[in-house]
Amino acid sequence: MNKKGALPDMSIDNVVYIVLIVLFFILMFYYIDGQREGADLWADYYSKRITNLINLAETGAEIKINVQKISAIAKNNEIEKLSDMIEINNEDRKVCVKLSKGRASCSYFYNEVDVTDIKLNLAQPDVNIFSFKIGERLKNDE
Amino acid sequence: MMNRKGSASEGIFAFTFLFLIIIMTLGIVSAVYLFYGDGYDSREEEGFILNAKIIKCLNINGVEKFKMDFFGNCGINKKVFDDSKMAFKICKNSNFDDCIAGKEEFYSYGSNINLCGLVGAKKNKNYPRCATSYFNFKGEGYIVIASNNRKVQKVGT
Repeated sequence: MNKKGALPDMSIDNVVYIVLIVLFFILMFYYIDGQREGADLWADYYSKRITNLINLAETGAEIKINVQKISAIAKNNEIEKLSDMIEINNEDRKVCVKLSKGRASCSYFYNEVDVTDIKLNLAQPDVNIFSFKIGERLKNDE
Repeated sequence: MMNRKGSASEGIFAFTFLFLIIIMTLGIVSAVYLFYGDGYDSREEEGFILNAKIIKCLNINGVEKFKMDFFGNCGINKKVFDDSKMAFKICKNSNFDDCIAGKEEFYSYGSNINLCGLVGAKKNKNYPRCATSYFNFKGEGYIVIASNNRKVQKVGT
C-alpha cells in the first residue's frame, strides 16, 4: 500500500523524545517567564520589605508603600487584578507578592499583630499606593 | 526476523539528545542567574530588627518579665520564630567571641546561634546570617546576637 503523505511511524523512542522536548520547553518557559523584568527578585524584595515593616510596627500604625514599580511589572506579566498582587494573611502570618503568573514569593512575620484595612489605591495621585494598618492581635493561635 | 538496522545510531542519538538538553538547561539557568543574581537576602537585616525588638522589650518589661515569658511579653510568635530557625543570645559585660562561647550568658533561645561563631559560615549562603548589637541596660553593657536562616518561600499559585 502506498503510504506516501501519511504520518511517519512513531516508535516509542520518538514519542519519548518529543515528550522530553515539550517538557523541557515548558519548564524553561516557566523559569524564564518568572524572571521577566526581574519579577521574582522584585517579588522577593517587596515580600521581605513588607514583612520587616510589619515586624517593626506598633499597634495603631498605618503604613503606606509606593508600589508603582511592581504594579508595572505585574501588568506586563499579565496579572489581571492588581489587587491580587500583594496578599497578607493574618491566619498564617504570611505576606505573598505575586508579580508573574503561577508563582508568588511569600515570607512570614513574627510580630503578634493583625494587619487590617489592606488597600491598593490606584493612581493616588499619580502612583499606586499599597496601605495597611497594624491592629492588635485578635485571635491567639498558640 | 526483526530489523535491527540503526539500533546503534539510535543509542548515540539518545545520548546526544540528553547531552544537548543538559547543556541548554545549564546555559539558560546560568545566564539568568548571572543576570539577576542570587535573589534578595535580608536575613541579616531581619536579625537587626529582632535585636531592636529584644532591646525594646527588655527595657519595657524588665529582666524578670522578659525571662519569664519572652514570646508572650515581647509580642513575638513562637511558631514563626521556630520555623524561621531564628535564635538569639544576650550576654552581660561580654564581647562577641565570649558570648558565642557561652560566657556571661544572660538569656538565649534557639541553638543555631553557635553557627555565628564559624568564620567559614559567612561565605556559605546556606548558613544563617547573624546580626550583633550592643546596648546599655541599667548601667551595664550588653551584647545581643541574633541569627536567622529564613529565606523567601516560592509558592505556586
